[in-house]
Amino acid sequence: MRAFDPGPPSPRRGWQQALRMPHLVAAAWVASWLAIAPALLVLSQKVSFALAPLPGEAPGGDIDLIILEAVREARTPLAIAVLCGVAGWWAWTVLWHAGVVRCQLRTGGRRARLSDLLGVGVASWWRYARLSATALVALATAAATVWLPLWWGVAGGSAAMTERRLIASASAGAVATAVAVIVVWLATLHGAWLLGLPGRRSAALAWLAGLRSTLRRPLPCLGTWLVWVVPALLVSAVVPLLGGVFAGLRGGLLLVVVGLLVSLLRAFCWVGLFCSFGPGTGLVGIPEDQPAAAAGSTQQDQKAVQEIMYAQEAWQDGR
Amino acid sequence: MGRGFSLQLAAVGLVLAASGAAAADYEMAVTLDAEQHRLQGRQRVRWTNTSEVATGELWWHLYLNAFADDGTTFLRELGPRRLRFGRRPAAMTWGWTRITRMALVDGSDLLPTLEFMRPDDRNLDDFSAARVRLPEEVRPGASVVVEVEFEAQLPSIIARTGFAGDFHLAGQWFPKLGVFEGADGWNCHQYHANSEFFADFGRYRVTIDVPQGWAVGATGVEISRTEAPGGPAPRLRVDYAAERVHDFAWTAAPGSLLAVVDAEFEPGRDVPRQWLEQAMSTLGLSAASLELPPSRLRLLLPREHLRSADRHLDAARLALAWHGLWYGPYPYPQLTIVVPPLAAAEAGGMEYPTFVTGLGSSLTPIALLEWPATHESVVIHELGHQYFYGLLASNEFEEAWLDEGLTSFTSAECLEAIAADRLGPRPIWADSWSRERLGHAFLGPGPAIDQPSWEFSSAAAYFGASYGKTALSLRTLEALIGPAAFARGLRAYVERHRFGHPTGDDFFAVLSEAAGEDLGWFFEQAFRSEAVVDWGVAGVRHRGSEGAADAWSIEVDISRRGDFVGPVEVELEYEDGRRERRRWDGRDPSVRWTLTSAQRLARVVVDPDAAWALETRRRDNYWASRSGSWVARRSLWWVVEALHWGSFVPLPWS
Repeated sequence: MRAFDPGPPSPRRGWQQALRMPHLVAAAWVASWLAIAPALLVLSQKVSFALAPLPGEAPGGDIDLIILEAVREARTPLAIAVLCGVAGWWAWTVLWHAGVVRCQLRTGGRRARLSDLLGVGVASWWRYARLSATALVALATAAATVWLPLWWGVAGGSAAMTERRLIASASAGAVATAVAVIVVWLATLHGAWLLGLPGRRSAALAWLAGLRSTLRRPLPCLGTWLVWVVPALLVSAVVPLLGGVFAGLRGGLLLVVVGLLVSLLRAFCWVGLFCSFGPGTGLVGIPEDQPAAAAGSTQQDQKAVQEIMYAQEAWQDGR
Repeated sequence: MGRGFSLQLAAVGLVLAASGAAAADYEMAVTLDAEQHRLQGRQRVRWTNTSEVATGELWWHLYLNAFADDGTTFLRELGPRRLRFGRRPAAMTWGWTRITRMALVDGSDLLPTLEFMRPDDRNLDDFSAARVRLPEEVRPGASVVVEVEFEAQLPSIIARTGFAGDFHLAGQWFPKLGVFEGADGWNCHQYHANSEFFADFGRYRVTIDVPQGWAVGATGVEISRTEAPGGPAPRLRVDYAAERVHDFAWTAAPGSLLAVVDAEFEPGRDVPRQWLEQAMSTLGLSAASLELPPSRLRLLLPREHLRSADRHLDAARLALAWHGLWYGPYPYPQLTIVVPPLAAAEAGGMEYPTFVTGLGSSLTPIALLEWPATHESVVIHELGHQYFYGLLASNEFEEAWLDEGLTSFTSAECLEAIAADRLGPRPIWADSWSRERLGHAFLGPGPAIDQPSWEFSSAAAYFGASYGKTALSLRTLEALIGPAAFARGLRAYVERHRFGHPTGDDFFAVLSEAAGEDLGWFFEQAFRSEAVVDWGVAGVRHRGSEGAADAWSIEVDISRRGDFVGPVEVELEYEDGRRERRRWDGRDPSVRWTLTSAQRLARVVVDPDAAWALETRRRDNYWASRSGSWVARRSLWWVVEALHWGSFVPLPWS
């Protein structure tokens, strides 16, 4: 069976879809705060409480000591809160990715209610969790491939490992890791859409197909990724920069408001990024007059292609 | 270098050579087999019995035997497959020392009487200490001359010594006498993972024979070098001399690996004016009596690190100026600094007389904590050891805090002075004392400081007590008796015991004298007990009503929650902003003060200046009538931001 190819990613498509799904953007925004809420709650109950009696100018090191003391006492609930936050954020991301794919393919990009979107997401959550696990394994494998030889070189005390070589190796490792993160991310984005196609059951195969799609057209993929991730990073840097330069703003209302806006923009970027990789123009690489023959010969494959064709028509109608 | 500078250096050398009778003089010749990393050595040791008791034995340290196999005391204590910083390479070359001849000058063979000693743990697999019996006792004031021939294998770099590739750092490489303490006998411990060294002062004349074209650095000063060209393996022979030192270390590596940079410490140029004025005013000394001699600086560092040469040299100059002004002049004509290559990072951060090693890598976690003052912090610390170890050769086996703790204190003070006057980089993460306090809090109160190094339960306990806890104890003492009395006491301690073996009791006595009071109560608790410093506000109660004068009756309960007894200040702040300080002797477990005031109390702070730097549980030192969230919001702001950024983490794989 030849692989379906959802076509090149399109930031414009992602932009349009994100604008069509403000309810999803809002939900992602709220979820980003809910994810850190348990940790914030523990911090405010345990650490903020300990710092409350301090005057503005405490002797050198006292604030750090008190934070250490309070965090040490609260380390178990804090660790649980952080882990719950990470797990919750991950589960939510998997959920809305699944929901968006299923709804988009089913409705051809027409607007869906949030409850519908999440409902179908729940139904295929486990499949997308497996896709995520595949990506995590790929990421861990890439990181180990990059860093373990370097670690062995340093830990082994090899005389050939000079500091200059170490810095060069570590820099190369950092670049390779960044590339691996981007490739894995892109493959997962592609794979998520491919996994939504009828007949697809294997998350690992979908992820590999996503990787193939990514490698087939790396520049459009990278360009789309940059279009969404760079702004997300830039807006996220606004609050630390303001707080870093103007110490008086830290913890103040202004930065809280800016932080809320920033997280909203970030949520929009994540939805836009994901939707940019959805199918747009058809089954690229499959002759338009012979989609079924090109896609495969089994009855299941033909049915799947038929569904995709309907989805594309619905998509075009929706536009 | 000017002629005047050379004459000044020569004068320093003459003063050293003329002063005092040495207990152990060594004349040695050593040849390095660079392929096998093996040493062939000959030594002629003159030992003088400076005690009042005769002895018929000589005890020797054979330190390299500590790296003979996994059964030695050192490696058992260090843990399997471990180095001081990291893990051992799979293909470890073990180290050892083999004495092939030991005889008196009259030919009496001592080798048959050689017996390995295990005074600390009776570990039969340990061969790091030995004794020989003399045919006749050495009477008080008499000397004995022993000739020794030995072979030594340098290990793969471990615990300050060994080789990595072509780089060699020879520390504790020769059979070395212990210290005879009269009626207490020989003080010659086995080599332990947590301990360093103890030896007598003496004169060293050492000839080092290495392959031609190699860079060599060593304790003392180079007095001549001879090249032997021709033949299949041309050699270089370098003669070194060192006066009044108690150890001798050297390094050798191909010139293509190590570069040699020579520089000077010139007091007229290198002593900051403000430091001189501060020292004059605090110590009550004239500028003339604080005048410092010049010194030569020799830096050996990997060629790839040449760009950082000035940082090492500038840090050494500032450290020489700081320590010279506060603790007396550096008495040697030269200081040699060796920066090991990355593969030999285990040899970094170590002190020998007139010879220190810098940081082998600026990429280690410890180094990154000090960033961007990484190199400076290490050079300053190791140079501090030229005083508290080099000049004051305390017993590092039994009282490690006397060198590590005092040096941690002086190097923190030096780093803070450099940062305050913007004379060098400052670690970006908190000031030196805040880092010390955090480190102490992280490790916990820990064991008593004053105990033999091998009796600490772990390396963390040893390091925590000997370094950070001691430095914080001294910082606390400085706040309790005042900076001037403390500075004068520390200077008096150095002046009185230089070129000697001071003990903890000597240190306590000098400090008590400087403070004008018996500080035994403090030393016993801080250094010889596990007493914990911890105070807190137990409660504040208001009775009365608003309006009338003296309307409020206020009870303030302060408690001593730790078992360390001492005086402490308490600050009371009223709602109208008025502040009042009270002193509590802290003898009872708690105290209740009943106050009458028209104003309610807004805040109570126990030890508001954090004078008790040893106290790390500071949360309950503060009480406020109204909880303010501003400090918390501001302090935790970075944490909250980090949590937001954490939301990026799962994205690439979801």
